[in-house]
Amino acid sequence: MASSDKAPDSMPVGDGSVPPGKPLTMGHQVIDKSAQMLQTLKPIKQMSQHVCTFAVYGHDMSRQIEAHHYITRVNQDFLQSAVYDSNDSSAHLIGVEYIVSDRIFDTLSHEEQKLWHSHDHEVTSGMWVNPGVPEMIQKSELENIAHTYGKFWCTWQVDRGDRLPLGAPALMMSPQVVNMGVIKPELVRVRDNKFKISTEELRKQRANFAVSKPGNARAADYWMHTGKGFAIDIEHVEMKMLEGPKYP
Amino acid sequence: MTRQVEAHHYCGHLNEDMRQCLIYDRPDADARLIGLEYIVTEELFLTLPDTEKPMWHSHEYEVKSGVLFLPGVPGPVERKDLEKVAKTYGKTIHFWQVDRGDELPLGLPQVMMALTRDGQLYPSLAKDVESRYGVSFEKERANRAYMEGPTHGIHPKANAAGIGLKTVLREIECKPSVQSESVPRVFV
Repeated sequence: MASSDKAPDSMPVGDGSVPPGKPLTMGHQVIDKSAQMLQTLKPIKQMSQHVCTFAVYGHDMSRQIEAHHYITRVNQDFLQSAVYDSNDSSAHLIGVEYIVSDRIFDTLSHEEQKLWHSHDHEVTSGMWVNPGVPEMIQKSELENIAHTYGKFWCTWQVDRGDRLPLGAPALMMSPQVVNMGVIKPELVRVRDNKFKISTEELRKQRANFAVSKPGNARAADYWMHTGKGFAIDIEHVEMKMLEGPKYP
Repeated sequence: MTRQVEAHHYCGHLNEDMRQCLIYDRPDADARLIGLEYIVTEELFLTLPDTEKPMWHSHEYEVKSGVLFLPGVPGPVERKDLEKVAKTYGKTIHFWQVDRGDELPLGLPQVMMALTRDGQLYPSLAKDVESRYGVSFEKERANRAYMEGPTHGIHPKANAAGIGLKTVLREIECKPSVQSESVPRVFV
């Protein structure tokens, strides 16, 4: 079992809905509303940005997706985001991305850096967008993001037709200016129409951003240096069990 | 099994049969997003391919033992939800191993298993949660004794079919996209 498996073993088709299942009952709606009123839900209330961008599967770069990030800025150097496949209330949670400044990135080991991707092209090309937010307001945040690196694990390959989250997590790569990193124009067009924006206009406006060029010392965007991506395999192992009754 | 983590789930329903959850290490504003979980009813779980089922775990024990609870929600409301959860299966992936002291999300994602019987959970972890939230797992266990697990029993392939699962990284040749053949390749 691997993130690069071509197509999952077949599942019953039913009505084709993703996921399959019955509409939420009134009973559950009531429970959800009660919980929402009684609980503080602090961690998820820290999400302060919605970003729409694109990502590419690291093990098959012909597959590209529109990704919606709901981002919490933890501090000047670190952001964490829940990633969805749309901005609707019915959006599927498809993964998680972590974002670090170049300063933090440089502290990572070489092996760790290979799993990360750069953001400078993604920002300057206009791919990375905060829908509904005027460019001027976002400018300083965008300039910050242009200097960051991301690590994005995708756990639900909806674009492959998976009606439930199947298989191993997949490592994602960012849009780049060359070859396999170039986002299909049709995908960009659909996104632009949906949010009434022009990626091309944004690219022009962002042309002057100072970027953090991945130097030779940085191992991000591994595929660009080597022509190789990464897949994740799931293997069975002997689970490390507790030792008898003696534990703290 | 020797590494155990307290996890705070923030869940939403996609429909009656499926939930998706973000997992944090604390219920606080500065909590770290450490993973996610998908939760499905037994009906949906049974449609999964057999190769997929080991990555999912049952919830019957977590619910009936009392260790899984909704902080701040009154018992009767909580139990209305949990009697359904007891019959579900979950797929949990963690990305950030905070318990081993990682200050950043390093390495590969981990497929997590759930507690499935008495004697697994470290008593110190349990006591810590009980005192912070003012709950008693023993008392809840009694309140939840009426609940039932999956109608067809816990599937033998669930819970990693009794063995462990490990994620492994593999390099793979990149597949060029057809439409950008004319763009020069940069590989050095």
